[in-house]
Amino acid sequence: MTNPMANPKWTLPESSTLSRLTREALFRTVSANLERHGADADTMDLLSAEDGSRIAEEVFAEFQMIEGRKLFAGCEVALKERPDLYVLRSEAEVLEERTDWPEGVVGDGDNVFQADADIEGEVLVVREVSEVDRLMREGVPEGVIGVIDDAGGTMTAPILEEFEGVICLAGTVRSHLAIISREFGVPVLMGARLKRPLKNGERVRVGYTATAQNVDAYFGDEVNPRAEVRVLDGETA
Amino acid sequence: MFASSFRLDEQQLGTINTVLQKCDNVLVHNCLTRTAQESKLFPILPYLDLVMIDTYYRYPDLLRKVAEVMSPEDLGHRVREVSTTFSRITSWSTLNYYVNGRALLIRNGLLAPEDNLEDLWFMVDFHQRLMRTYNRASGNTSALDAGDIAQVHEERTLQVFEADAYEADDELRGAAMRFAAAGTQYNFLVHCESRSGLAASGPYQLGGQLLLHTRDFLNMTECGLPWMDGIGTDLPYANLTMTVITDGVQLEITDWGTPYSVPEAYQDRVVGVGLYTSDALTDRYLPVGMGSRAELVETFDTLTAQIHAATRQLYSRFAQMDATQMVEAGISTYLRAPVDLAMIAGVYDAADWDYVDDRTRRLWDLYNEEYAYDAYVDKFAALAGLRGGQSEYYLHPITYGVWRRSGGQGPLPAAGRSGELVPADVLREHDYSLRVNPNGLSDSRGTWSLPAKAGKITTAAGRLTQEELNERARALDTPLLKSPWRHIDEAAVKWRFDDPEAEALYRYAQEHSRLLSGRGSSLKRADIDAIRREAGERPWADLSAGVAA
Repeated sequence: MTNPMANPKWTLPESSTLSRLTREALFRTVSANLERHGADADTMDLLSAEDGSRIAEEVFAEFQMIEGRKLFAGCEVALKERPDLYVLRSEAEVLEERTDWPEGVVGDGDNVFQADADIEGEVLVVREVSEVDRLMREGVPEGVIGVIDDAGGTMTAPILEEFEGVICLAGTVRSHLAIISREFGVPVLMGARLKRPLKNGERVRVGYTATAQNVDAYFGDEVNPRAEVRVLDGETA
Repeated sequence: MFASSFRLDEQQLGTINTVLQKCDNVLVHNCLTRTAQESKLFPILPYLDLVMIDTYYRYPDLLRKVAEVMSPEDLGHRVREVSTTFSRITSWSTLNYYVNGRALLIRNGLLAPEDNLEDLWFMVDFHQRLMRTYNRASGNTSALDAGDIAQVHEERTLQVFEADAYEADDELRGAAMRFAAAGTQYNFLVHCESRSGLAASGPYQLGGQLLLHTRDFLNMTECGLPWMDGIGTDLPYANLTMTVITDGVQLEITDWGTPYSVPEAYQDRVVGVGLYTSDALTDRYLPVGMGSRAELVETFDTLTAQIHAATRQLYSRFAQMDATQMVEAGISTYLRAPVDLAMIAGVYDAADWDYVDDRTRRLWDLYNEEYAYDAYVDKFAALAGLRGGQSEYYLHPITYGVWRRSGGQGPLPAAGRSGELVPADVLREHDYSLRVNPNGLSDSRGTWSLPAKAGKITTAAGRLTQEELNERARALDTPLLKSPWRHIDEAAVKWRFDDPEAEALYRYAQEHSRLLSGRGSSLKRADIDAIRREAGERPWADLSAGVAA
């Protein structure tokens, strides 16, 4: 092994505080261990399992002091086991800062495929695995539009085809959820932005007849207009 | 006096660095269409970063064990003829994981770019040689090179697919599409939210606006994945390949193995379908439920019901796992990208695969949910990071292409690459370490907390133990790997289709075909149309509505 701590000429700082803190702590430890063990050091000499755990704790403490928050977790089981360490990233998502929402529109998103008709339905927010488990056993009520914040293909896997439509607060039209929704023919908006959180039971109409988002938009081609989510029954947008 | 015996020459260095950059181009091209991958169910980002590091420590020796028995060229010939979990996406990612593990370790200060070059050369050379025979029909070793087209099969295989597919009436179309939907959804679950078990090839043109493509659903029941023990045991096959003929649909298939269509909802433009199985123990596709259209409908419906039940069964199993097991399962899923090569070679040993290396495990706490996310964004999306492959001048071809296509508005994208090229001065000094495991596989030690694999492995030859699988694999004496058939490709058939050996090869490929059995190598599309007419089935051209895609 040659010296892994050589100083490169070209560098570009990490894009987050956590990345920077982690790298700085790692480099400090590896440098110290390299000095102690010399050029013939084995990789486990450079960083032991104990070093890894200690650095993780130190970085978290420093991160909390700087950012004043716990770490974001994407998956539920991580939060369930380490509530001292994590909050769910989806809980910290901010609403779209936009002042020009058209009258009655409460959100918009990228349409996965152009459906034959827009869909009116009752909102059912599904954000937890335990909720999916319950719906899997009891069935999804008829006429429901699922509001989910997971663009993956597994979280809602057992119940996806039972929704009339889905509004997904994350992802793109190439995300796993979008791939599956095309297969099932279940209309879905991806990467939805909301003016305010949608509530269980409120009725909305989703513009699934909008042109599907152009997949080549991600490669610089024209972006199609986003499909709108409108509130019904006198609800306030 | 040099410290090592292996020496990289300038030709090898050039090959390595161009392959590293190619790998990076494919990665960035596909990452651009995605947000960072998170799931409420699976800890995706931790397992994604950690498995790349794990492959760096393990792939060279796992694949050397395979290469001791079969050459990369032999393996490429074998995987072209069937659908295995060494597919469009996993063939690319086998090398991609390894080189990105290397880059992540360099970023962490645990590796220098000139370390373990014998391993790096082995990985690049093995991969390139395999990919050339695997993709000999198209000549493109990546879908990116072909404009997001992923053609694999040769004429003899495609003619059987074309001839034998059943015309899709509403009943068959509906059954096939329900199977595809359920199968896709279930397969994401089987593979911990990854595409590792979904593959596709094509599109292949059938004239007019008719296109044929194949869809693979792999590891659908008990297989090498330990958490699949007892799941979906009524599913008769682990691997299923659906052939799909569409009319008036634009298709692209990326290196990540997913078909994308315009129109996006293409189901009502499916005009023909077929169904096959294949695996490490077959050398051709074997028809499934293809005795009649009614049998095929019933087969799809039965499979769909079995998949629905298996989905619920597996969801509950995953929901009971702890976070460590979930990360380990994700690592295992990705690590196993090339595992079917070991099965084909008859050297599969679960003990080689089913653990996490201690050298990876030491980083476990560091790659927590948020750091893993940030590290992913830095490395794979923003191309940033203090040890990233940045320079003031390098312009990434993919990100620059996006900027240019969008009208060149705003500043140029940040310079960078995520591939860590090997410094050319290694040719001057020749003083670098050779292998990450100087003593081979025995240097890799580790543990995991997942239950050990106890069930059997499902193949077209039945449910087998590991030992039975290896024995049968070693006994498979396919004539496709031997001369003269090995050396009869499409280019040869074009000029010498009446060669008796070409005729025999085509008859071998047609042996299980319901309409082409014994027809030989001289068939053209008009002949297949005539054969379908004779059988009372319409040729595909008659089904084209001439709809503009």
